[in-house]
Amino acid sequence: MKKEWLLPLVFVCCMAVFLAADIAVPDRIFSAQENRRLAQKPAFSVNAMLDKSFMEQYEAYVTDQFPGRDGFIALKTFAQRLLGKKDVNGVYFAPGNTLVERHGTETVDMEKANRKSARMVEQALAIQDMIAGRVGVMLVPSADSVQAWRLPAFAESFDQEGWIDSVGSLAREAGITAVDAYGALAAHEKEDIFYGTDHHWTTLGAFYGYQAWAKAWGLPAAELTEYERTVVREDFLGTLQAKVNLSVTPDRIERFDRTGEGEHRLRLVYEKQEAASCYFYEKLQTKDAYTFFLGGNYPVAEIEGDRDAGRSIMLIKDSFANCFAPFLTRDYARIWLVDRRYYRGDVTELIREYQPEDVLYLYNVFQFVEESG
Amino acid sequence: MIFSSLLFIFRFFPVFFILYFLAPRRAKNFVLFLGSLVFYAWGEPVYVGLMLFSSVSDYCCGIFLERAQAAGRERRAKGFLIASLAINLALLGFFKYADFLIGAGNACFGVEIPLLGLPLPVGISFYTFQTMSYTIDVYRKKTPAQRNFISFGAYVTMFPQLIAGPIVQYKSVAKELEDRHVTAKGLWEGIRRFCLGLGKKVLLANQAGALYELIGSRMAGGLSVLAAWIGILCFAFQIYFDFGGYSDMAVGMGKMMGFSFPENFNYPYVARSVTDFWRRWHMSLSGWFREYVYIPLGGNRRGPGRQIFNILVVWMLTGIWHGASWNFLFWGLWFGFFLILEKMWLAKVLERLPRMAGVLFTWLVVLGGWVLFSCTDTEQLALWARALFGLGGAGLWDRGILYELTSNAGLFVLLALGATPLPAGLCRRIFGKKGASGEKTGWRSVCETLWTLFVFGLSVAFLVDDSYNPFLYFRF
Repeated sequence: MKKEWLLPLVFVCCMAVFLAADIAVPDRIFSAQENRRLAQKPAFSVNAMLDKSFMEQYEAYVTDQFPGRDGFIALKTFAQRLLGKKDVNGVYFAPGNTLVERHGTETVDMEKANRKSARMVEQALAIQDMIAGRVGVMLVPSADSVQAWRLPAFAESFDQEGWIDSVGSLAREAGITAVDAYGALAAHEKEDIFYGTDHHWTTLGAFYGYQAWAKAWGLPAAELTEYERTVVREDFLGTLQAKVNLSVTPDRIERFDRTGEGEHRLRLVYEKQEAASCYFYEKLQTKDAYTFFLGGNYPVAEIEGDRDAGRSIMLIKDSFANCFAPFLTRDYARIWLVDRRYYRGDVTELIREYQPEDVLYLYNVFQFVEESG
Repeated sequence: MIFSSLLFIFRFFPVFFILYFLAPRRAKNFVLFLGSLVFYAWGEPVYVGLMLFSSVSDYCCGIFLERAQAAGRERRAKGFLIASLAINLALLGFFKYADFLIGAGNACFGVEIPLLGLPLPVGISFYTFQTMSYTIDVYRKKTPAQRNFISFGAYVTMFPQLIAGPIVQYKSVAKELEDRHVTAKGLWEGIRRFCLGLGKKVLLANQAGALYELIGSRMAGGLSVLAAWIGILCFAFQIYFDFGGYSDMAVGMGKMMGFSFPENFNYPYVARSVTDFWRRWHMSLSGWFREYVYIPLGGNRRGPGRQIFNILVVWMLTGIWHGASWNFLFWGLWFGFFLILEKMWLAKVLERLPRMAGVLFTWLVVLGGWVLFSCTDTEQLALWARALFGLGGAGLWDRGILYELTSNAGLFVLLALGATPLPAGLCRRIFGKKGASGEKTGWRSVCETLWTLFVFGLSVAFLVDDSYNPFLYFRF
């Protein structure tokens, strides 16, 4: 073989291997890594061809089902990082080989955000008239604001503090309790209050959030020393790691227990299921290990707390509440969790039905703004 | 279908090339013709008929024209030439310029003729220019008419250069249409050129383009001077690596099949003058206008007054060839103005200055041109111009642009280096010149193979995770 065939032969061999792999590997329905459904082979029709929708769907299909997709994404982010890029796919590279979710100054549609917060306060006021206790609003920031020290030089983020403040004063003016989760977290900015591979706050972060809540409610604050901390998983890689698919420092997932605290029953109202604990050890080994807390999100769930019958609270919430809610077992006999992404009915109907004493809106800023409905 | 897509690289091209390779020599043009129709129909399932119509009409005009000339009937021959040109220009005029002309008419006369709103058939500016070059060259007896419709169809619809050039003049490939071979050397060079072109598009142009769009999106909130200049610089790199990458891919695929297409770019960003820039940028288009417009108008042979007029005509046409909108017309005239200036006295001044001064001057003119080119409405243009001159209301620099600068420093180094002949020169220094017979050393062969695969693999990785892969030529 003469050497003038080297490049053509090597290249053709590479292509052949790819095409063979493409044919041999069956199509995937779902990517656990990217947490989304992958495009499937589209059905052919003359109309779909003439309006080009067939072509678009077919291109998406080829891209999504490409062999070694996850590895190629890792190669891309690795190359970009090597070239000195400080953020990739909406994620900053942070000190200690960790990641921080990026929310640039343009991320938030302010008009939409303000409309949503106004609607929330309006609804909170209506609820206030229906219940005996308090209605509160607690917006939890993301790491790129509270832990700005982890960001690269000159990085700019959406002004979460300012916006949370403005929602807080709107609430206070209307007579709704505003919980200062921002201040509570900022006071501990150097601690592990957010995961380094996931967009959620850690159980420790949620604990500081719980302290802020107790303060706003006028209750005696719980101390960190009252809790026993157990590491349940040491090699957690969350949603942010999935976006870059690189090797980063894994996270620990912790469980907090008050001295003498037992397990709390969790009841899923719509699924008609019950669990003996709020913690799901079997979920720890899945890709989405954050579902260790409550096992995931449900339309309406109910947790049994340690207080005497009578005291109850309803959380209107997103996934940030999942590691937060168990702390409330100290203060309530019943904790209802309502997730508006899954519960499509009227919240006031639920209030009328369950008659909670207190109500708390608990959302991450960005999940609140992006959530539909 | 665009070349920089997994669909093209891993579905269309392998299937096409296997068929092309296996086809007997006399059937290769047929495979090429059919493959090109499939390629075009994938993106334009309706307008493929238009391209076929254009092919048939020019095929007939060419044959009739030649027959008339052979019979000594010059006027009849001229009639067929004019018919061919009229059909091509009518197609182009109707599908590309109708709305522009209607809009201009409406504005001038205060009438309200509704716009047609027709989508522009991809590649129409390229294939109409190619077929016009064909009939003109047959008329000028520079090439015999093509009697085989399959060969002619293969020339007009040839997918490697169909949608983004280079503009291949018929006479330059007439011989290869009849007689060409797939060779090891052709495959080697072709694969290498294709992969490097793909890398230019996916690894460089797309990244620069994303940054340009990001900066542009901040315009509403006020742009600092630094941000505006970085933004327009990114646009300059995007369009060069995008267009240059596409041309490389076209030339590469041509080589694999045994064609030698003309080169389209020759390091335009190291040009020492605007004249020099246009000898290096989109060479197949400027060559076309020189041969079929500028010289027939008299070029520089009829006195300086006529020459200035000719230059202005050519550059107005060059401008609106890039898109049916006023900004492209002004973009063309902008270059026409500087070219005339250089012809009159500026070239002599630039020659006496150090090389860097000429390069800097050219950069400024070209960047000014890209501002005109990138803004299709005057409001946007005014915003960019204000920002570039410090009237954007956001100071000299801002945090946002400092972040992008530090985060993309590596990319900027690659963009700047890639636009110069330095990497190629470095390779020559390391590997030495090729031997007299063009034989490569073993060491060089191995390095070239590895480098090609590296660029290809990385490009594929970027395509798999692609969130920004635009096609810039939908206006051409």
